[in-house]
Amino acid sequence: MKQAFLKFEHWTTGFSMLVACLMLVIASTLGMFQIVTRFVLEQPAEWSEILIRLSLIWMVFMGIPMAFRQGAMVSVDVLYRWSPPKMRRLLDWLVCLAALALVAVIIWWGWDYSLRGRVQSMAGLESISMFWGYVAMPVGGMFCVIGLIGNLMDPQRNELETAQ
Amino acid sequence: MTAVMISTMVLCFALTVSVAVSIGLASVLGIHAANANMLISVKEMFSAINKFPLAAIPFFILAGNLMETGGISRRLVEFAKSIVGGIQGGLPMTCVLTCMIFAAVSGSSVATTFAIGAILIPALIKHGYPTAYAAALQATSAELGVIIPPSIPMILYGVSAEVSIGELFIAGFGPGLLIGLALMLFVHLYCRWKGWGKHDGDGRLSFGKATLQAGWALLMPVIILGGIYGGIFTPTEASAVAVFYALVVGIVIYREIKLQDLYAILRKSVLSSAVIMFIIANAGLFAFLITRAGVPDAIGHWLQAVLQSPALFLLGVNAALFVIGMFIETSAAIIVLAPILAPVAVHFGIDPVHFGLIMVVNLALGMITPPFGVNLFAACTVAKISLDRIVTHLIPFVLVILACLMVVTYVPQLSLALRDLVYAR
Amino acid sequence: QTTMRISISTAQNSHQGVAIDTFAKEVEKRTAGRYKVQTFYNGSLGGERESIEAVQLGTQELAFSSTGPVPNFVPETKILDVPFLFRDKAHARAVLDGPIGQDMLKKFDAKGFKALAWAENGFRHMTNSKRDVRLPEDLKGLKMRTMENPVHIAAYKGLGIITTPMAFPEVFTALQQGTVDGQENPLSVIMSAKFDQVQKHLSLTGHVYSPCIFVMNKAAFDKLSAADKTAFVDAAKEATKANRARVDQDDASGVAELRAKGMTVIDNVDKSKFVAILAPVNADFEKQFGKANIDAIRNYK
Ligand code: NA
Ligand code: NA
Repeated sequence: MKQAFLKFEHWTTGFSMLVACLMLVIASTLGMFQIVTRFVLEQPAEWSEILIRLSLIWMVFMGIPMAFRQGAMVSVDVLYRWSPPKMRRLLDWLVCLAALALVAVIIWWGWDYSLRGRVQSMAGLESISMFWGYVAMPVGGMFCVIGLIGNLMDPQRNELETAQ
Repeated sequence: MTAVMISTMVLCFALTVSVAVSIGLASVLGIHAANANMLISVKEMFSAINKFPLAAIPFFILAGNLMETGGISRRLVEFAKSIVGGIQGGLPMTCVLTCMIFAAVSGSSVATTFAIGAILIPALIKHGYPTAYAAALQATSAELGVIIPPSIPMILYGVSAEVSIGELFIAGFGPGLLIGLALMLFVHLYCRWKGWGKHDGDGRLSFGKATLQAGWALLMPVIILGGIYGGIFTPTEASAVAVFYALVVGIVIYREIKLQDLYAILRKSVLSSAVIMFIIANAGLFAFLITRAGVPDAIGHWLQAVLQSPALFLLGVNAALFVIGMFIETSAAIIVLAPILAPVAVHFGIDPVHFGLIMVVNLALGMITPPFGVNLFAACTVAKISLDRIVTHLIPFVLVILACLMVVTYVPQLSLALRDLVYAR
Repeated sequence: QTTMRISISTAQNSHQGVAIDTFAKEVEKRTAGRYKVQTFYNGSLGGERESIEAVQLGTQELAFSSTGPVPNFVPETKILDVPFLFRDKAHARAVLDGPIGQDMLKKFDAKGFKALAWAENGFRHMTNSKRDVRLPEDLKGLKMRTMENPVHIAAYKGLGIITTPMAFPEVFTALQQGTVDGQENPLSVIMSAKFDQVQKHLSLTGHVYSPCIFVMNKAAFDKLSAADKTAFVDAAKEATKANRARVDQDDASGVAELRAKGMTVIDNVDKSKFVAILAPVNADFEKQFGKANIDAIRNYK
């Protein structure tokens, strides 16, 4: 059961990471494209900026599932380092439940927000509704839940790899 | 509501809940306590990261990772060594100088610690320096990563306090140079006192050869900063140029990045960017809620009434930021505090760009003060040593930075002279 | 006592600050203190798009904003962005206060807003560091920072301008460094952002009129008693008066002040030449918004 879930989780978290990487590639390509259109072609496109912002927001919410999975979120872990193993396990549970609570809010209200955003069009890309921006939150949130449970079953702590 | 938010946040921090989740959960409970609409939570998280200038953060992170994998750290170390490596204590001085140069391509301190520390900490240990000293030195020098442009905290300050990021970047050179030179002077004197590092210069390259090797890496800051200050592109666009420059140098010129490495580099960059942007999202929500409750105005009026002169205000802010920096993560602190403090600074007649530098230098110091200091953790990881063992070696370094901070605070020209020169104010 | 919030993205000491301060004072007075309006400035509660969205969602009761982001919520208002649509401020104010403007306010109802009244930023004018702009040909090849507004961008491209969207805090240094040559804004903004320090040439092109609007959350408005509803609408009308008076004052003092600071001000721009160049773009706008609708505004007396 545990192995089956972890296998499933490995797949979902890997998938969301793949999407996040794709978003970063798109954003940086568009960033370069924006400079070229402005300076070389002298015909800037007004939709590149909004697409860059959008793809980076998708990158964030599709990227955090992996961060949760690998315990890569930066934390003040003094207590953790000073604790005996049993206490650490308790902290693992606490940390996981706190994150799940926040993610639950992001999923529930993020979906509500997305639905309400359907009537609003994007500045710079009038044909697209804000739904497609906002829905990054509940979608990423779902992947976070799976990643968080995965981390609780098979704890990892890699915060330093990602700290800035 | 504010009380609920702050106590939840502190409790979560203490229980090792991550910074982003602690701040987010505190905000959610704050919304609940204020009986406000919970839609605010997701709306403000989204708004906080839906800002174009923030695109520079993932781009500079990606560019930094490409540069690192592309073999520039090693070349920069050789370059720095060829300049300062020859005298007693030359290796620790090389560490400082390499960090200064690397800082000009990287926007983050932790990235600087990993990139440079991975090479120099082992080298320092091999030359007989105590491991704890090497780690403390590396953690402190890497601070320059956010003081010398580009800088993620400066981008965040610029966005939160509505100040030009280009101006902040250029204002970072003076303080960065000051801290770098002060650190080099300090380690040189310290090594002479301790009798360390008499043979640090053995086997170094000639200056010409090292420069040639590091040429493409050294050209990157010239292109980025030259582009910004030559009026070619904005700081955000410069970050996109940095990505492509690093890609071309790494793949085509140095040929150290293989195509199959790219996915690993992307993953690493996405993870770092997502973690910091998620902190920004939650801190943005937190800042919105306390603004809505009128807290910044109240604090602003109180500060103006209690600290009646600019000098006193700066002293008070520095003391407060030093304490806050011990416990709180830098980006979160800037997002929440910049909108509160910057208007008060302007009221006291302080240039908001100068004030931004004070905040960044002070909170960069927070990255090496225990108990919570990301640079410290990173340096300890690279040196494979526990945090408590390096504290005694850390204290003199913290004092050097504190002295520099006072100069940065009370000599505004150090930050502003170059800006005024470039922008012909 | 009920407390509501209203926000603007500019400073308190501005034509927008005057508007919400007057509004807050009038609401309190007209409802005998049963309603209090708390004012937020400088975009501290978010930018204009965010504040309008907040009103729509009901997370904030009131907002005062330029109509910049409004078409994303109420597409019918897009027509107001058409360049050289209004002859002068008197014409614009008459249209907005007349049946056309009042009909447009009703369009907000279906989107979750109660639009209380129109106000304004005034006319937008162009500045640049290269040359005096008297004729449309003078604009050819100028790199200008513009808003992310498709109607504006289409028109500016039609004039031969190279449009560049950019975050507002970067504009000053971008102008200084020559990343862009010029920008366009109302005089009040040109003065408060101190663009005179980095721009030599100002032309009173008045190419676009920039209206502002008071919006309230529909559900919050519907909860008011009939008398209080009138009080809110009247308070907004009073605020509009104060806002327009301030814009007039800024316009009158602005030209003299900017001249004194060393800008050359071209105040006799022949707008008909610009309109003529824009004929093909205008044909597109007429197709998009309906020729009859545009003419109704243009010919309003
Ligand atoms: Na840097
Ligand atoms: Na610290």
